Amino acid sequence: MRRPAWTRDPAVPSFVLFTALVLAGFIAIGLAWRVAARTLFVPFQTPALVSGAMGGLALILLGSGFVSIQAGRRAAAVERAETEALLDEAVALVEAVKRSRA
Amino acid sequence: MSRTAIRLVTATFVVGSAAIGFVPLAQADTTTTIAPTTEGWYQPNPSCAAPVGCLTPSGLPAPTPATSPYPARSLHVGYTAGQETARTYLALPTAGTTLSLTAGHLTVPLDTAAADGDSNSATAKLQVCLTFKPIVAVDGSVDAPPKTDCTASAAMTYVATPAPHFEADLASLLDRLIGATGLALLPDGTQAKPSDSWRVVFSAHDRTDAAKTAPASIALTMEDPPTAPSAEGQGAPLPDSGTPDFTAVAPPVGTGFAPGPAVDAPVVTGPAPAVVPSTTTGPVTVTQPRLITVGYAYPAVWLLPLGFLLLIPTVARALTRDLTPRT
Repeated sequence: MRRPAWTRDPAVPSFVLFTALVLAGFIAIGLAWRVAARTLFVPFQTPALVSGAMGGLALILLGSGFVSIQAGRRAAAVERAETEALLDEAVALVEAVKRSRA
Repeated sequence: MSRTAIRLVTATFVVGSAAIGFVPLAQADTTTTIAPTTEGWYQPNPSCAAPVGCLTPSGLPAPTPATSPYPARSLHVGYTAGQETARTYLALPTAGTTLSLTAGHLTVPLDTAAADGDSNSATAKLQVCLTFKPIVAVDGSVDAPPKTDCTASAAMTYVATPAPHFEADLASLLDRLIGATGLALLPDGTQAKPSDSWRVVFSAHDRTDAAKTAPASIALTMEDPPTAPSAEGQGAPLPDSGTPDFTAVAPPVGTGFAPGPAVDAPVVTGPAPAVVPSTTTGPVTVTQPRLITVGYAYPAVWLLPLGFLLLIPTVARALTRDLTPRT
């Protein structure tokens, strides 16, 4: 059974990982809200908000940043590969012209 | 020593140190008996039986007079001929307690004097519901009572000895008890028959006449010791919890309570939360503190270092990997 072409892209696992970080951040914020909402006692709400909300926000920013970086790296890699292919084509063309003149 | 051995030893130390968080520590659960800070009981508005409908206080030229013929600060729950005739609200100082309740037990010693209103209390079918609205100290008010939330309720059981009292296991209410302003004691419409007729009488904590019985008490077992409210919170009304306004469960059958008020009832400043001294006679059984073994509230957090240990090299590897598409 052949794997889909996109699964062979070396960037896919990292995108999955960084997206998971973003999702974990949202889950952390949701958990923080849940813990803080079930009590009226501020001293119990504060740690949940600090750990959950701030931690969640950090995870979201971190994951988003990594996704952005990885997308840039992937675009650069694609561009580099295309340039390599173009150069290979040019070299092959030159070789073909040489052979035709010889 | 080979690299494999070094890695094994390192992994063992890391896992071992993280596992410390899961080691249970001996800690005592705290059982605290608390008393309601404010009690009030309501009866149906008699004008609701009129063809013109209910007259609410806002529609009357003068404030509704007190209509209770019973002793001041006695509390009532009643049911007669298929209709609820009285219900009681108990405000709790739960805002200052921890959020980790493990058990709760309500005990309501009864005033069985017929002169105070008691009637067939042994046959009464009561239930305990939560309320998230402010509770005011009223005696037989015909105003609209605070809305109740009976999506989870606890049935009360009559116990005759050593002295008549009702008791209820509040386990089904523990999840939201902290956010509630108090408990509502009302007839259990699912068990009451139309032919039933009974009235249960008990005492508010500030009842002063000679027939006073011990007030209702709630034994709460918490994982953490209770924290005393702050100085500025002494005597302050319980704040609005921000909990969604649950739809009130209609009183059992045939109730004559007036519709909801146009404005929220004023909050009465009640006395500070107080621990009930063990002066209750007979029926109040105080749960003895029991030692149990507990650990941290969220022991899984001790796995975070392991998570970071895996995450950091994984991220580093992902950010340095050659992303050139393979053809």
